Amino acid sequence: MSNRRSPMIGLVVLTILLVLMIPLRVLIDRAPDGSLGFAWPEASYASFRWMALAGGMVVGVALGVSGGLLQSMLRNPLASPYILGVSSGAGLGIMVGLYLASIGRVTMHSTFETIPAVLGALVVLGLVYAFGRRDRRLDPVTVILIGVVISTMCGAGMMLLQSLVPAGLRGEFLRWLMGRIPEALPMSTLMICTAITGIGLIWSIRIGRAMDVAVLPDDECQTAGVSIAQLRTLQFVLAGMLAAVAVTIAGPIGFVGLIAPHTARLLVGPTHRPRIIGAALAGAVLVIGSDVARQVIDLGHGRLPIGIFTALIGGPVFLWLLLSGRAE
Amino acid sequence: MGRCFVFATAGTMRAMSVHRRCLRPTAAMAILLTATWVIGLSACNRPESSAKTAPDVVRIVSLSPALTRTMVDLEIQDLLVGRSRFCDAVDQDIPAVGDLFDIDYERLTRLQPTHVVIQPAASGIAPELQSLSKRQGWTVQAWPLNTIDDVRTMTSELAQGVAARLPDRHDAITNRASALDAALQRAATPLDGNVRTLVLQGLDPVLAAGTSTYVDELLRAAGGVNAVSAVGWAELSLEDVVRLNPEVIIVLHTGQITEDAWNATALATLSCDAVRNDRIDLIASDAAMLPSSALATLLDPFQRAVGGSVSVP
Amino acid sequence: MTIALTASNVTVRFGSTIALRRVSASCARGATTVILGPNGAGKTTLLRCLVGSLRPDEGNVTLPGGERVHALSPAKLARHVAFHGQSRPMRTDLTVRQIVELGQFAVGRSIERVESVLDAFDLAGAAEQAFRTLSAGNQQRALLARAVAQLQADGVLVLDEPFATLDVAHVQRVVQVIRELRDDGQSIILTTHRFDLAHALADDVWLMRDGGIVAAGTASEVLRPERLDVVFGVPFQRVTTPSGAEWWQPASTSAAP
Repeated sequence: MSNRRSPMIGLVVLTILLVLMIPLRVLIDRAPDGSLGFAWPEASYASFRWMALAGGMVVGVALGVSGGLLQSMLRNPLASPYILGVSSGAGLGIMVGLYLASIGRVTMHSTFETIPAVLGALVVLGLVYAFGRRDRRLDPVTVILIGVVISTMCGAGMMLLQSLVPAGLRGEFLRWLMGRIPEALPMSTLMICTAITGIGLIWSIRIGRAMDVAVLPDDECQTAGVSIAQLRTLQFVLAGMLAAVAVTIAGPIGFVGLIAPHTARLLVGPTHRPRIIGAALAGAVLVIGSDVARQVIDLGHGRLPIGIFTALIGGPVFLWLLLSGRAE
Repeated sequence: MGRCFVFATAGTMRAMSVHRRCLRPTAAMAILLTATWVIGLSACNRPESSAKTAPDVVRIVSLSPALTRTMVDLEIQDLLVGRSRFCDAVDQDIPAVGDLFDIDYERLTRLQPTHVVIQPAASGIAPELQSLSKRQGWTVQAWPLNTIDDVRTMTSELAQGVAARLPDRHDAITNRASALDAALQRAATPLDGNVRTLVLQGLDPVLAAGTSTYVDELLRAAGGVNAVSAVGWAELSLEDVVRLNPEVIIVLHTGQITEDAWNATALATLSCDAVRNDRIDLIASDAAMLPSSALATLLDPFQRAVGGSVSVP
Repeated sequence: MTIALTASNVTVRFGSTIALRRVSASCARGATTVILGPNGAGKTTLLRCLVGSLRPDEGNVTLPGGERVHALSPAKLARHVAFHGQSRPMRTDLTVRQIVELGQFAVGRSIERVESVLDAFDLAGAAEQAFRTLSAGNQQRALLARAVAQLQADGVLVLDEPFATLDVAHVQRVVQVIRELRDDGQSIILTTHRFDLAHALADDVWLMRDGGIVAAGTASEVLRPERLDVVFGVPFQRVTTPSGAEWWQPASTSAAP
């Protein structure tokens, strides 16, 4: 398999893909009449393309790294950022916000649904952390079970509230579930999210070698010099924070957090340091690539939601990587 | 967002203490990211020229299917230069600019609207849209549409705003608006009726209009009494329907429910007055799906379903 | 005798079950200590306490300087004990060499050490293979090699069932490695169910039953038939090899290698 290959090759491939996506996203020009071309954007709307690029990069990196951290921490290849319940927590937060707004007729002055989303995500993360511990440390199986249970409960809460809000608000919420790429974020929000994502990425790379050691059984990991309790807490906090950033600005974009770390594993190899960098790159490539695709594909109703493309593009590419890797 | 800062600083502090080993690929990533940022962000936040359109030009982008539908009723759909993905009451060649959650800001800007009209989310108008509109000189008009009175207000304000800017069409638009307003007013004025009516919008599961819905208002204006006392839309069991024992059942649909389809449902064999007396009305109209001025068109079919309805013993 | 690790009054409870009751013992520096006992006697629990990964409910495990092992930072602990636990399935694509290198995470990298350990465990040829593609026995050798690569001059090597999945030839290999380490003055603690290997390796034997040490001393002192019958609940018989070595072995199993 990929073991004898240098991790650099995979990283270079992913970097090239990312660098190719940037001019595509900036230069593809969709005129309002639907015609496509290549053109440098005019000043009045150039910022939206740059912001979509920046936002897509932040969301992709955050989801990729978050997924990578969780797959290591939970020792589970199916783990994704949403297994911690971040998205359902944020979703429930939004539903509660919508509900309160609908009964109180209040208007929440926020970046759309940001604050209830952040609150919901953090509350759920706190609960999963509090209940996911066993023997003074986070236990992978317990965390997964608690995450699933709390997600399900949040899901039930969402359905409950959804049957309470006026019909008109339901569509609004369903729409949130499909995700978006932020194009006109306030600069302060983007900067905060970029900072958190940057810190999360660098910190995750720093603990890369410890994550390698953590493939060993717990006791051996502990005696080999890595505090498994501290490492898991750190992974949990970093992964949760990154997922919360992504969910807050983009809604729950599916698939990226699951596929990006696997793609990195298949292309870059098993050691965690390059793998985390690879997951960050793969996440950014997938999100920006999907955003490029939706600029081009218009079925007559304008751009389609980003979540459709991350799954439709990410899925087959991932299957191909997985199957061709197995054949080797 | 304050709490994010707390996270960030706590993060840096702890980063100092845990595992210090240097890394080269990170540097490359960092440079790449920073470069993109610097180039990209230098393009953002540049003050934009405001709309260069003449004062008597009206270019409307509607982000709400209900508003779009109302524009059709006001016969001003020719002023529409952009629509939401869900606006299907107008020519589908009019460019779509996403939806309220994911606005296609680039296309919106390129359409150079004078007005952006929306039905706001519960959480208000997105600040991004507000600040962009201020920069670009667009007028953002938002109307919450929960009741028929809300729809009346929206219809007349929308008409007035447009009419004021188009002197040569002023009379035509205001005439249309007053006709619609009269119809809507009728649809919002309750009659002293007593026909217990169930209005369904879905059959499996059974979804019924409760009180404080615009359908309930229509029903009361048609002389009916809502059999459901719950607030908002309510999912009912078949047992509930039997026990509510409505005299009339109205089924609102967009054309997919035929007489045969109805007869194939369990509802068609329920033991209740409406079924026994064959007082079932299938109303095919998409007007009921949106809080637009077209709601007024439902009053007649509702009256027909309810009225003449001295219930057969 | 100098001491490598001391357990004093170590008690461990798992809920209402008492896994270890007031166990006190010291293992000597430069010697091999073999822990024998039936399933559920508390061998693994004792090892986990000795390496500091399980904190006793009562009592302490201390280093000669008096430091309690469970209170050491992982980086310090790694210099004092190197542990190989009972293997659990690990699905990692890391190569055998990378696995062995993990042993040196906290103790400083030495490429020569990794090479010599790979050689000692007959893994040089498989060094670039992905761990998860190996057979169970080869995986166990890779994990043993990792623990040995971590072992420091004054550290203790603690091995839980190191022979469990190995074939005959590799059992001999591992026995050889353990002997050489001991001859170099290293301290080793291991558990096994193989009486022949206990005899062959042990300077000291701890016989455990029901969460306590019932006897400790040299192999010939501890492994008496009357005691073994009681502890293990099966009759034992004497075995003598052509070379003259002799030990007691459960009567039901056939004799000598």
